[in-house]
This record gives sequence, structure tokens and C-alpha cells, in this order.
Amino acid sequence: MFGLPAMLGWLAAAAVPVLIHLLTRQRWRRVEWGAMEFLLRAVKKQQRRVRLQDLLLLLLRVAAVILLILALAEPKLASAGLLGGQEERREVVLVVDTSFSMAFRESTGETPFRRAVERARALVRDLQSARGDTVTLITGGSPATLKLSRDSDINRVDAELERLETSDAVTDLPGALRTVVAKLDDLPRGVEVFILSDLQRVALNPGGEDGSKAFDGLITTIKQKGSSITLVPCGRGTADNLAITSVTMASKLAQVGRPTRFAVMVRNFGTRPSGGVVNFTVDGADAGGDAATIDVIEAGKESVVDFRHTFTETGPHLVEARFVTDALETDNRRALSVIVQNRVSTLLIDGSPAGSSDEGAAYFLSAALDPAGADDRRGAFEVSVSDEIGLERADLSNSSLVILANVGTISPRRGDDLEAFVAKGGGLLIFAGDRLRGPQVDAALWRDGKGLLPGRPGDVVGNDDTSDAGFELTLTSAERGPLRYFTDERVQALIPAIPFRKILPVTINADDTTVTTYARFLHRKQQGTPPYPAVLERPYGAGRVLLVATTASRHWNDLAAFPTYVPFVREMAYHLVRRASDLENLTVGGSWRGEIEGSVRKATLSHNGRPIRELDALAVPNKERRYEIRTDTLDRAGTWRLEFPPSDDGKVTPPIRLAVNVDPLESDLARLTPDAMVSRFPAGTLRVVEDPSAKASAANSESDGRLWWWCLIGAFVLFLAESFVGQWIGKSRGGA
Amino acid sequence: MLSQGEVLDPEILDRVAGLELAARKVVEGFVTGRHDSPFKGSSVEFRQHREYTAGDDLRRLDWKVFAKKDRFYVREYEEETNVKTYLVVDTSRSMAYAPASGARPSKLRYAKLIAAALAKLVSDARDLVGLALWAKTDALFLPPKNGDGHVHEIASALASAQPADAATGTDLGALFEELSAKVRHRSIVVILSDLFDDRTRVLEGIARVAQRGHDAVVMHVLDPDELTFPFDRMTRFEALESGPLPVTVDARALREAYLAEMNTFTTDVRSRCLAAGVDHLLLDTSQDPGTALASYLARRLMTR
Repeated sequence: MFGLPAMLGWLAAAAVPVLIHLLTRQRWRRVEWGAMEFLLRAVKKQQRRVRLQDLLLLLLRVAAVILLILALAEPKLASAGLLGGQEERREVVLVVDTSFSMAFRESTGETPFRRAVERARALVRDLQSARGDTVTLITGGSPATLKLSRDSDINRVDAELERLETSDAVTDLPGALRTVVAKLDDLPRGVEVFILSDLQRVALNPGGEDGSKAFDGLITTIKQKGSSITLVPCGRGTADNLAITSVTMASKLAQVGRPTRFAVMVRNFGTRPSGGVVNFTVDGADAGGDAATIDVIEAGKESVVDFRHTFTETGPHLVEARFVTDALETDNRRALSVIVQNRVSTLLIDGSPAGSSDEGAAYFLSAALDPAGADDRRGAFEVSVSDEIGLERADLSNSSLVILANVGTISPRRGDDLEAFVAKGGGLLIFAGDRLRGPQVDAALWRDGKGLLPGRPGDVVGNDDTSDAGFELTLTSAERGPLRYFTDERVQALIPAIPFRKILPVTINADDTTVTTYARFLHRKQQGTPPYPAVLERPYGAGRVLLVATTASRHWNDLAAFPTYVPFVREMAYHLVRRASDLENLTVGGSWRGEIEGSVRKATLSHNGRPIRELDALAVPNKERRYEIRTDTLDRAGTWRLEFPPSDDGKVTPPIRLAVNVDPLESDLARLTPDAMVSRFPAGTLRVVEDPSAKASAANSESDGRLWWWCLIGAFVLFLAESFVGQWIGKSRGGA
Repeated sequence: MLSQGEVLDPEILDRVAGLELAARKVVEGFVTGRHDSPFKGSSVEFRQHREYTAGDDLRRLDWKVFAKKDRFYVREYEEETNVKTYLVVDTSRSMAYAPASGARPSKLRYAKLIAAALAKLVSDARDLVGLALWAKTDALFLPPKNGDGHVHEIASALASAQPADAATGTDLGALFEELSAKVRHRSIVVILSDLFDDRTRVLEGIARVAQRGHDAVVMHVLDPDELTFPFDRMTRFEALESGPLPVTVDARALREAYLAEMNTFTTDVRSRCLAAGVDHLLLDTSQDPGTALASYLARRLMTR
């Protein structure tokens, strides 16, 4: 760049020496000459040397004129780059944090993100395409993305930076640094890595201590590869933030006509007490009067606000909570997709009906789930009892939950139907018994570990002696599972007292990582005997399967005689039917995958009402007539909707609503101080610069001040050289 | 065109007649010795002794006779009378060169002046003098005679001589062959030329003339421009004689190489002449012709 670019027009004057040279050759004196022989011989000898000398003089004159004019044009470093500045080609890697925390609006109205972009652009403007400078641009919002790789078109880089916007994702600086490390293998040493971020503590200490070590290891690796790393903190001042961290359904089930309770949690991530108003809406409309004011939430604390809503229609509904008056908009909103039902239609298959006996599984399970039977139309479960023959004939699409109690006779075809039922979100609860084994069970339910059963039933252990309570139930991973209810110490104290005489040992495939064991049976007398799985879960498509390795009746245990029986069964039933609803609540960056009706071939994916793309139904591998829809990564918070066109036979498939929310981890805006960050590494590993272009600009300014002077000196030296060379040539030619 | 008066420049003749010591000796030789021609032959036959008179060349004293008779006698030779001198003037186009400023005469005019002066001097010494004007072929040939009338005829021929056409070119080799054929008796052959021709052929021709017993003198006439190449800017050199195409050069850049070539040429000519027993006199046209001629004649008399 030049201070007086108009002066560059005078560069045409560089042609003057050339013109003079040419004109001089055109203006000659004519002499009639006799001694041509000697002249021609001399010409032959001298011509090459003379031409070279003339060319040298010409070059010196042209270069001198050019330098003189450049000096007068007040050159700036960006265009000159010759003196005082960086002469070598620059390889710059920009890591721009695009996580949603960067959208925090400061009191000045600025955001760290805008600041980061401007600083990156200023840095890029100091680069020179002509010198071969390149920029590699990586965004640091999850997932870290390589936007540009060694791009030497500065204008394109600038435009790409201008196009950047914050995502709804968390920071993925480790991912970004892994990308940097991978790129460094293709780059020469001396790469300048700039990390432009708000330096969130959670981003720089990802995943606790181990994560921090991994992160620091990446920094060290980059340094070892000969690159410099510059942290550019883009956040200013304190960043107090309140965020809705969760919206959950506190009720067990969302039922038409019954109040459903929701809990909205608001957390104060700031450093001082703060409060605000939470608005609650259902399906986009304000649920009249559902707003709550939170006066004060102490710094670092959270507050839970309850809302109740009574749904009047079945199907998917969207519940949304919004927090008002906060500087970070993205986490002020959170949604929950809820599937509202009338009653849970439950098909109960008793494999060993006890006739009129009250001791059968059907009796106890019906009593636990639907105690009033046909007399109560408001209970959560509506149980329909059948036997193994009934299972073969039943229309599973009318049920949300299927319970198999000691079922041993089942056709493979019905096994397929059950798989499809569960895959679409149905729940399957299996109680063991002496019939739950054998070839039919293997063929229909186990299928070498690929069927619905979480484990393969073995030979029954224990005895029928009612005085011998051989096994004791213990909880293992109950925190979030169907036995969460029993984690309460008061309830848990009752469990050891329950006598389990016989159990069905279940073998889980060693390579099956999908199975979760919530409870185990311990042999009371044989200490040291490995425990047997008692309650196991296998997710399957949109639904899941729970296997209880003992009977639902009192044949093998006295569980049904204890008050814990009812919650034991009901909690498992709720757990199973809520699976589909849970799957439709995602975090930004997640994706949805689910089976659909076989007649549906396409779906339209839209975000907040705006169509995004068409999705084709894909055949489920190794399954006939079963299809599924898979979305890509859902990278924006809000409501995503899958809508299906009517099938050829006019059947309408209800849409699927997906509530995608931001990760509340990113809402914690607490920042590391640059000094704290730098001190984590050996001296010289990291440097912190507020404005990466400032230093270069300062250097440039200083150099700019000298640059015209150097040009002038250069021109003078060239003129001097021309004079000397001219004299030397003159002497060599024997002239004056 | 030179007028007869210009050619027979009285001043030159005066200056030749009244020059330095050697030149004066020549003049005195004309008067007292009668046969002391400036181009006296060196390989002539003895005829008789004559008593010494003042002004005779002391080198001719016969010391044996002096020893016998105690009187001085000088030796006289048969050929001392009626020595034939041929003046050959090159009229090729290259001889027309003169500086554009007009500061000096052309080489041809300079050669004419020298030739006329020599004709007068030779004739005054009662020797025979002839003239050949030559470019590629003989344009004019006047057989050797003496007497003022003949000198007048030579002067007239010189005055009317013009440089040949550019297309005519130069063939001095042929001239020397022609001379060898026409001049049977031993004579003095004075060649006034710039010798811009095939060098080998010219020098072989001169050597051949000398080998036939003639006393050859090469008066190498060159312009100072040709000897010093004073040009210092872009110059377009066009050949006076047809053949080479014009060449435009930075003259200053070429000077060194040109002078080296010219120096090689003159040195070569001089050494080859001396090797063949031929006098070589380099005349540049800036020199006063009388002074140059007198100087040479004096030197020649001293060495014969």
C-alpha cells in the first residue's frame, strides 16, 4: 500500500531510460567510411560485451527511477514488505471460537465473537497473497471444523471470516487443536497459530483433569512441531450469565386430561446474585398465566420453577421455557418434546397362566399396573392379559408396552414383530421363569445376541424351598435407570429382606456394550460366587427391553408379597414407555435415528418451521420391510420437525418433533485469566496478545516510516552505481 | 577537382626545396651533383671516377684512389643518369575519405599533392618520372619522361583525377602485376595508397615489385580519423566502396577494438614492407605534406 498511490503513475517514467536508449540508437551521425574492414571486425568482437554493458546501465537507470518514484509514493509495509517487516512467507492458522458463549453481549453492546472476527480480519489484512502467505481457518465450535486450508487468497479468507457466525454448540478447542496438529504435518515449521476465544474455563479445562492434560498435551505438541501459539482473549469484563439448564417432565407420564408437572431449572453462572422471569409455553402458545419470577438466585446456585399443564390431545407436544433479561440469548430458551398419551396400552402375556389362582404373574402384574381394572378409566396403564397363543394373534400396534411373563413359546415371526415394535419406540418387559429358555426363545428373542433379549438364559439355579432365601437383590447402576426409585435409603432398606429362591442365570455377550445391568443377585450362602444379573436393559431402536431374571409371580420369589413390588413394576413400565419421548430431546450436535412405518419412504426435515432438507428412508440392515430415518447432525438449537407425506394407501404418519437444546456446560462463562493459562506451560510456549495485528501494525508503522527513506537511499545508490559503471564502461571503451 | 595550380602548390614546392638539412642536400645535389636524385638507385653499375667537388657525397669518395694519387675522386655509376621513377596514385573510392568538417584534404588530394611534388623534384633532377592513376584498372598511365612540360602534363593528370565509383572497388594486386609487366628496367616505384584492399594480395604485390629489382616506396596515406577513430556517439558508417552493408554502432564503445585492428594492419604492412626491402612511409593527412615529404627524403638520403 502507498500513502500517495497517485504517484505510482509516475512509474511510467521508468520507461524513460529505455526510450532514451532506443532514441539514442535511432539518432546517429552518418559517416562515409573507407576502413570498413577494420570496423566490421571490431563490431564482431565488441558487440556482445557492449550490449551487456548497455543492458546493465539500462537496468540500473530503470531501477533507480522506480525506487525514486516508490519513495515519493510513501510505501507502506503491506505492499513493500522488503525492509523492516517480515520478509518470509507466513503460514497462519486461525482458530476462531464459534461456540455460543462467544455471543455474550457485553455492556457496550459488543460480543467476544465480533471482536474475534475483527481481530482475525485485521490479522489477515496484514498478510500478503503475493508473498505466498496462507491462512488455515478452523472454527472452534463443536464439532471443530476446517473451513479453509492453506488459502492464499486473502480476500477469500476475509470473506469467509465475515461469513462466520456463532453456533449453538459448545467450544471444541481440543478438537480444533487436534485439527491443527493434523494440519501441521502438511505445513512447514514456523506456523503461527492464533486462538481467538473468550477463554472460557470449561473450554480450556475440558473434561476435568484428564481432559486438561490432553488439551495441554495438544498445545505442547503444536509447540514441538515448531509453531508459535498465540492466545487472543476476546472477552472483556465479567460475564455474568443465567441459563435454563434443564426442562424436565416431573410427572411420570404425560396423559390427556391429567395435569403434567414440569420442572424448569435456572442456574446463575455469574458472580453476583441475579434473577428474572421464566415464561412457559406449550406448542408455541403461552399457557395462560404460566410465568414465574425468580427474585434472586445466588451466584453459582440454581433455582427450580415448577409448571403444570393439562394436555387435551394425545401425540407429540412441545414445551418451552424462556428466560428474560439476560445477555446471552442462546441459553435463555429450552424446549422439551413430550408425547402425550391417553393411557398406556399394555399387553400382558402370561406364559404359565395359573388359572383362577391369585399366585400367577398376570394377577400380580395387573394389580400393580392397573389395580382398578375396567373400573378406573384414569389409571396410567390399561392392561390386557393374554397367553402365548394370544401373543401370536395380537395386533402390537395397539400397544405401547408388552410384558412377557415366563413366555417360552413364541414364533420367530412374532419375534420379528416384537423387534419392529420395540424399534419404533415400544417397551418390552420380560420376566423370567422356567419356560424362558430353549430353542424357540433363542430363535425368536435371543438370536445369538442380536435379538431383543439382553442376555441368553441359562439353567435355572436355586431351589423351591420356601425357607431358603438363596439370593439377595442388590442395585448397581440404578441412578438413572428404572430402579431409581429404590435408591432412596428408606426403600432400599427393604430390598435385602426380599427372598429370591430361584433365578435364571443370564449370559451377556462379552462384546455387547449396549446392555446395562441395573441390579444383581448375590448368593446369600456362597460368598465369593459371582453375582448374577438381575435386571438388565437393552436399548433397541427407539424402544428398549428390560429383562428381570426371576418371575413376576411368587413361584421363584416373594417379591410380590412386599410393598416394593408395585413401584418395582410400575417404575420399570414408566421407564420403558418414556424411552421414545426421551429420544426426541437432544443436545445440539446430536442426531436422530428411528424406525418408521414401512409405507413411508421420505421425510422433510425442518428447523423452527423452515424446511432444511428431504430425507430418504433407509432399509434397516438385515431386516425385512423395516425402514428408518436418520438425520444429520442437528447443529442448531430449537424445534426440528420430521414430517412424512401420506402413504399411497392414504395412511398418515404423525410428525416427529425433536427439541434440540444447547449444552448448559457452555453457559458457564467464567474465564481463565491469560496469565493462569500461560503459567500452565513452560515459558515461551504460549503468548497472549490482545490484538494480534497491533504488534505487526506497530512494526509496520515503524517500518513504513523508514521505507520511503530506504527507497530513496536505494535510488541514490543505484544512480551512483550507474555513474560509476558508466565511467568504467566509458574508460573501457577508451572514451572520455 | 584540383586545379593545376593547386596541385603544383608553389608553397609546398618551396617548402620542399628549402627544408631541413636533408632536403637542402637534395636540392644542392640537384645543383652540384646533378644526379643526386632523391630516388637515386642503389644497385647500379660503376662507370668512371670523377674529381671530388664540394658538395659531393663523402660516402662516394674512393679511398683506394686517394691512397694512390693523394687526391679525392668520387665514383660515378651508369645508372645514375636517367633513373625512371613511377608515381602510382591509388584513386579508389576509399581514398576520397575526408572529414566532414573539411579540416583536412581527402586522402586522394593529399596523395596528389605528394605525387606532384615528387614529380617536380624528380624532373628537376633530370630524371625520368611517370605516373599511374589506379583503382581497379589503370585509369591513366603516363610513361616516364622529364622536363617541365612533362611535369606539367603529370600535374594536369593529377588535377583531373577523380576517385573511382563506389562500385569499381580496389584491386591493387592487379596494379602490381601490371607494373611488373610494364616496367622492365629497374626503376623506382612510389605507391601512394591507403592500401584498403585484400591485405595479403597487396603485400605480395609490393614484394613482387621489389623482387624484380625495383626500388619500391609505399607511401601509406591515411586520414587521422582512420588512425584515431575520434567518433563518440551513435554513428552510421556507410562503406565508401560497395560491399559491406552500413553499420550503426556506438562508436565510442568500438574505438578500442577498431584501433587494435588498425594498429595490427599498419604494423603488419610496415613489417612486411621492411622484410621485402620496401620503404614504408605512413602519412596522415593532418601532417604538412612538405614537412612529411622532406623528412622522409632526408631520411632516405641518409640511409642510402
